Amino acid sequence: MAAVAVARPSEHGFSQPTSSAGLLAMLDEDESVLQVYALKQLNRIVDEFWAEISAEISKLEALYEDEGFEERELAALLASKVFYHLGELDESLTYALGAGPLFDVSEESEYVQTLVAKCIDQYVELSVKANESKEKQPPLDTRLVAIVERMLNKCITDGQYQQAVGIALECRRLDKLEEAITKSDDVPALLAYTLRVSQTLVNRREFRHEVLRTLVKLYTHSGSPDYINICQCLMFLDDPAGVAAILDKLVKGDSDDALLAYQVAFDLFENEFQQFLLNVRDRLPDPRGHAEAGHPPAEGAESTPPAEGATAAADATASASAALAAEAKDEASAMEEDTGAAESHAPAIEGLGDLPIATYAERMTRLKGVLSGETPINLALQFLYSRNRADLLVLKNIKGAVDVRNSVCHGAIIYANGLMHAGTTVDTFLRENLEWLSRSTNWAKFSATAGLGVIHRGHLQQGRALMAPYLPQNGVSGSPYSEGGALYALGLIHANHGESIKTFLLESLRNTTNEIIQHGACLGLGLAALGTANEEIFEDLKSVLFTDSANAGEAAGIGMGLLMVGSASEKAGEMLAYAHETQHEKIIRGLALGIALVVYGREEEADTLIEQMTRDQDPILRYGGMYALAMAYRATANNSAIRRLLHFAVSDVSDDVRRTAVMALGFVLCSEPEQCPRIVALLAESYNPHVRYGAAMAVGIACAGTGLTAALDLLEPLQKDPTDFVRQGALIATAMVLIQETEARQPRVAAFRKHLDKVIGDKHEETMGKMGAILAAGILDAGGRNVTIALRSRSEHDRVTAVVGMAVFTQWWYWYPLAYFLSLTFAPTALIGLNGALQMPRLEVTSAARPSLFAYPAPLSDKKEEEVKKVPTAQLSTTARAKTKAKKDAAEKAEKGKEAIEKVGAKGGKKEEEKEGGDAMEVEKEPEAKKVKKEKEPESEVLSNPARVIPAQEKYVRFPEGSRYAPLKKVAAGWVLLKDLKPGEPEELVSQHAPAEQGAAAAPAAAPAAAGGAAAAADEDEPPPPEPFEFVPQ
Amino acid sequence: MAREVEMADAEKDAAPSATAPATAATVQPEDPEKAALADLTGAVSLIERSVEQKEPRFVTRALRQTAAAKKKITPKVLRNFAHTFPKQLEVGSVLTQALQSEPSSTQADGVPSTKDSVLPEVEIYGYLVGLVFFIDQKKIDVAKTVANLAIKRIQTYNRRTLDSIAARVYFYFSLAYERSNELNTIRATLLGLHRTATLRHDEIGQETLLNLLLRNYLHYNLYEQAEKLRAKTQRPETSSNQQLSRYLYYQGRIQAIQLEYTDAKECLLQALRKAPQSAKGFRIACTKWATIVRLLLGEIPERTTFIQPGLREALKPYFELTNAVRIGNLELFHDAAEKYGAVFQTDKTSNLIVRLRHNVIRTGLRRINLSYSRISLKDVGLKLGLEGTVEDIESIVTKAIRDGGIDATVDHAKGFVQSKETGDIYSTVEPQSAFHSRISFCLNTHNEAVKAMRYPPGSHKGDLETEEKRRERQQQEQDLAKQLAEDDEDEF
Repeated sequence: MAAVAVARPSEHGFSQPTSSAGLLAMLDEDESVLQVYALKQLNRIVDEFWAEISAEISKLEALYEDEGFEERELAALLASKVFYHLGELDESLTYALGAGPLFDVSEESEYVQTLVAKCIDQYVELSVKANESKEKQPPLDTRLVAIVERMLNKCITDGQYQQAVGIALECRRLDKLEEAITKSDDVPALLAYTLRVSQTLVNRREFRHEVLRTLVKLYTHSGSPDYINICQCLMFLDDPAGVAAILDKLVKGDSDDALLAYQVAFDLFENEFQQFLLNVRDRLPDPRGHAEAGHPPAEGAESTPPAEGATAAADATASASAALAAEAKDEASAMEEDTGAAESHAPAIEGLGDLPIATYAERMTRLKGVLSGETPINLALQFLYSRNRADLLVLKNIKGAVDVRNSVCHGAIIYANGLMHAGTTVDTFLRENLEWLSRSTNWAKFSATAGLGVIHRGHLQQGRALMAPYLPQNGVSGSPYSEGGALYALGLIHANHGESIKTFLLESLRNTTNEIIQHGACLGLGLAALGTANEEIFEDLKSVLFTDSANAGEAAGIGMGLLMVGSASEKAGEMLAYAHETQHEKIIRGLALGIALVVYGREEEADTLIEQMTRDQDPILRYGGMYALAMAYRATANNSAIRRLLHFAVSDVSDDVRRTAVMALGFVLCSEPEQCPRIVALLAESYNPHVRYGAAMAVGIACAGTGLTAALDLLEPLQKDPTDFVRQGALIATAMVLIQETEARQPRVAAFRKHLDKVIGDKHEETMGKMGAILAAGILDAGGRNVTIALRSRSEHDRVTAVVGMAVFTQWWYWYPLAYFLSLTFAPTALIGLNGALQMPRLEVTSAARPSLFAYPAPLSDKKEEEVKKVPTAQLSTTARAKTKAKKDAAEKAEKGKEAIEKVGAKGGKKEEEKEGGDAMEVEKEPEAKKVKKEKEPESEVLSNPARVIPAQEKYVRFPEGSRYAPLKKVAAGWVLLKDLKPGEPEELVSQHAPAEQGAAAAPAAAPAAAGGAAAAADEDEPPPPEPFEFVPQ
Repeated sequence: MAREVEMADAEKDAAPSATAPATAATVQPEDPEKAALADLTGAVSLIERSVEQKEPRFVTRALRQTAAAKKKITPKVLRNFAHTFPKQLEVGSVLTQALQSEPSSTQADGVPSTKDSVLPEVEIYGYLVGLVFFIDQKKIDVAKTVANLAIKRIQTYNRRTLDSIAARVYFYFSLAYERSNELNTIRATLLGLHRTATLRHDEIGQETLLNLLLRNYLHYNLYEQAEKLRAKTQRPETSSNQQLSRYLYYQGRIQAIQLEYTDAKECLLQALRKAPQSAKGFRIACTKWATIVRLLLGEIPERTTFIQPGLREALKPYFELTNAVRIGNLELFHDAAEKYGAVFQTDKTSNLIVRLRHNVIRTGLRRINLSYSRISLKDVGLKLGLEGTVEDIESIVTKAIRDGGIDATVDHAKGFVQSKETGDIYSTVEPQSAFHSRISFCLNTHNEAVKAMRYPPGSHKGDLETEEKRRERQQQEQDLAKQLAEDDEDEF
């Protein structure tokens, strides 16, 4: 523009005017000719003399208002320009619109650009207002609309489709959005872009749904529909019928389509939206071969094991501690049943040879298996079990360092063990320390029993059998604490997939009046029936609530919330009413959390309820209001929610409310972890320890599993806070942030582990801090070092179970057993490749990064412990990497040695194992691959199916060229269906070691973790007479 | 740096002998040349760091360094510097071409850059260095072409990190045109740039350009235009001290012309206070205007104003003028005005000095009024050196009385002036208001000083107490509490 201005002085007739006063005076003339002339001249020089003209702006306005004046539009244009120079853009826009055609949108000047931008802003504001308010808005200025549309069309014709999509979304113009997408040259890419943008940037739920509906429409009309994305959209829209129709269509297609159907199902499963998945499943047609082609194992588990479990338990001794040992036996018998199930589909695959020529029914059964969670959970379980790398020595050291009489720390170790082995089915630590374990009494016993549920999480078939010893047998019940714990454990095992266990839990709840058992059953039911909104269960929970007993009522409140997650039903009103009635704080707190869960993900819809709760006189209900905000706006980074939370964080009179408000920020911001440390940075320096604690947890929640340096910077000073519980929170949060981080990527891991050891061993440290450190150690190595904390799935959608789990976990502040809810947030970091029969074929993928970047932490060695007593669990230091490598090698050798011993032992083992073993022998070549890795540090490594691929590693993982299998989706993580490119050849399958064989599971799993001596010592400690081994050849 | 050039500029007006900056630098041994190049490249890396860390402080430092190094820049240094830019960028070739006219054997000995691209900030910095060099070398035409190219490049970018460098370029752009007396041709460009800067919230650019525009208008005595522009533009809140003092200076000048002497005085004095000590030229110009405005207000500046080291020579005409006003001697005043007429003409203060005559008379009257309780009008005329009839003198005196200049009555019949008794000033609120204005000035200064302080982020985190110290402290607190409790018990 300036360049234009430079040229101007020579343009007009009189050279270098120094004032526009003459022209301005001409505006007062009566002759309109003169006025028009003055206007024209002024319009030319306005950029230079606007300051002078602005004094006479009223004259211009008057000319524009004058209906009789023929050049009104010119006056408007001039007025607009003057206002523009004065910085009054609103006025300027009004007059520019008044200038009609004289305001040339295509002009390249700064004036026009600024005003067009302003125009779009105003249009966006008006149309958003029109969309959001219920009452009728006055129609938009047509001139405004015309300009915006002109800009949109210009974007489209210029090929700037992404911009067009962006503006269309901002303006809420679905018609333009559609036009932009259909006219673009790369429709699929733009659709994907729109999907991503709509998920992240459209912050109003209703409109987002409209966009999604449009997208589905566009997707289906496009030439080659992207079913994966369509189904994602449909899931967001909660349209099970649509998904079912698509899946059915795909299953009826050729084998590739069937693969795609499975992939869609797996992807849907990843979002863990139980109710939706079940709805889809129920809408799929009943395959004719349902009965013969391998009944769904879930039903099998329901029908058979109770009897078996009961008998096995009857054989076992009655005492609680002995029962743990008896479990092995129990499972041995349960295993038979499992082998039977395996046999039922094994012949089908073997008979088919290389290519699964699946019938419709077969495919449908498989699909339903996936949708019900059966197959994926099973696969994940196998992965976690076979790759378990939890280091028992860590626990042993903690156990040694902590005072035995300190019951809180004692309990914390049990929790840590549970988390560390979550989903791995390895309970060796408990077995080895039965006497120590028996110190848990009362509620500690409850937690100890419930811990088994975490360890066996996802062990759907065996869940009942595993817990049988603690449940009433033949009508005789043992301790109510262990019984309640067992019910809670069953809930944890079946969390979010509890169809098979629901009835049992419900019966247990009905058959008891003991509040401890009720407590366990309520939690268990809530977990198992998560989000199903089952009326019957709700009524039962309500009747427990109305008994007005504190413990049972609290659990009932939480259970109701879990049951109704995201339903936003009017039941919340009932709950709120009762919360006002009751005198028990525990019940109010349970209900408050429950109500918060009910409005999960409802965003603006929940505002009325949130308002009601946050204005309540009772601080506990306000506290629930904070949770409601967190749940309703989870992972949205919604500005209004953040503003409200920050307001409460600094202004509420109750510490609890303030703490929760800050913590809730973590939930809201978990979609943008980078933002969170910045937003809570000031709060982390608050004088109020509760606020500091909240800040630590917020960062832990939002940045979980990211290893963000900013987050660690914030947490580090908090770990040394003067207040004990702040230290506790900071330690736990740091562990959450650092989960699965390796030293190669984040050097602070080593320092943190060292710090944990120091805190645990420090006799001056308060119990609270110690407890935090113990839990942190558990979280750091969670799930056998094979899981991460993921509140969002790979499709960037929130995982309901995980977010809910995290929310309830934060309640452990009041009630320790709730700490187990953290296990719901764990997501196995696995790449599981599957063929058409949903089996894992032999497959190798390459990870184009140094192996040490993503390796497991090195196991601790016993020797080192003897040398340096003070810091027994000291990890490798970054400086002495060579030493570490040597140590690793040593450990590796020890491991191999151990395995050799096992092999020998296995020969003497049970003969019935052998037929499974034959299968296993084929492919367990993993140690060899590892050995290659350790000899030199190559730039890449080869991973075999199922592979541990941690989130940061995903981008390095490639399917090798020329491989037999081609993946159906690009992301190399999670469950990936593989297209067989050479269907004729025989397939090599990865052995499926089912973790059912408990005795066997314990020993080999312990072996890689505890090196040589320790494992041997463990063996001596406890020689269970008929120890079944799994045959694990080299 | 900007200040220094203006200083040099103003100094040249006042005392032409004081200028001789860069000319001597051409005949220097090789070492300083290398040092100069090192300074320039150092500044470049500072700029890069600043952009990377989004920390504007480093750019400021880089510009300061350049100001220090500019006297050492020779054609050779510049040529070498130009070679550090990648080939596809215009800046390198522009500078080299501009140097073609240099009668020197200076071939670039540096290795041409292999870099593919540099930051836009660095590119513009390259232009800036060239621009400064050519202005210092009095190669105004070359400077103008470089400046135009630089401005064109700046307009293609929209980066906030570029702002402070761009502001410097604007300044030298304007300076180059001022030197060639073509300021009016760039007014439209400056207005355009100012608009752009305002829209982009480029605050430093906005301030600089507004000042340049005011300077531009005032150069042509377009006071009205300048005032209109000044009144209609919003100044950004956070402003650099230097730009603010210039702005105040221009504002003071405009107000002085528009008869708003009180405001003008405030502005000019504020500008003087804000101006850095090293900016001698600016301070001289400012003091001149402030002196005139104060005289017009009937105040007499202290003698110390005129005998400040370095300013004495330049302020001599004004000193004599002040003296004349102080005494109230018209004759002396006319002499001074005549003697230094040319100086006042270049200072653009002569039209104000014409207005002063009236003040001289009034000051004289006041002196008479204080000395005599009664004096005849004729004597008044004689004492003031006024020519004219008694009627004329009477009208002058009555006007002075009506304006509140003197407190007296005129006896028309007898033809004399009768002074009134002066009251006790300490019985009025006058001292209080004087105190008030001083106190508020001190408070303002204090507040501004506090605002100007910089708190480095995170500096308070360093002194976290360690666990051991904490335990120690807690132990001590407990002991103290116990002791207090025991003391309490003892008392009962």
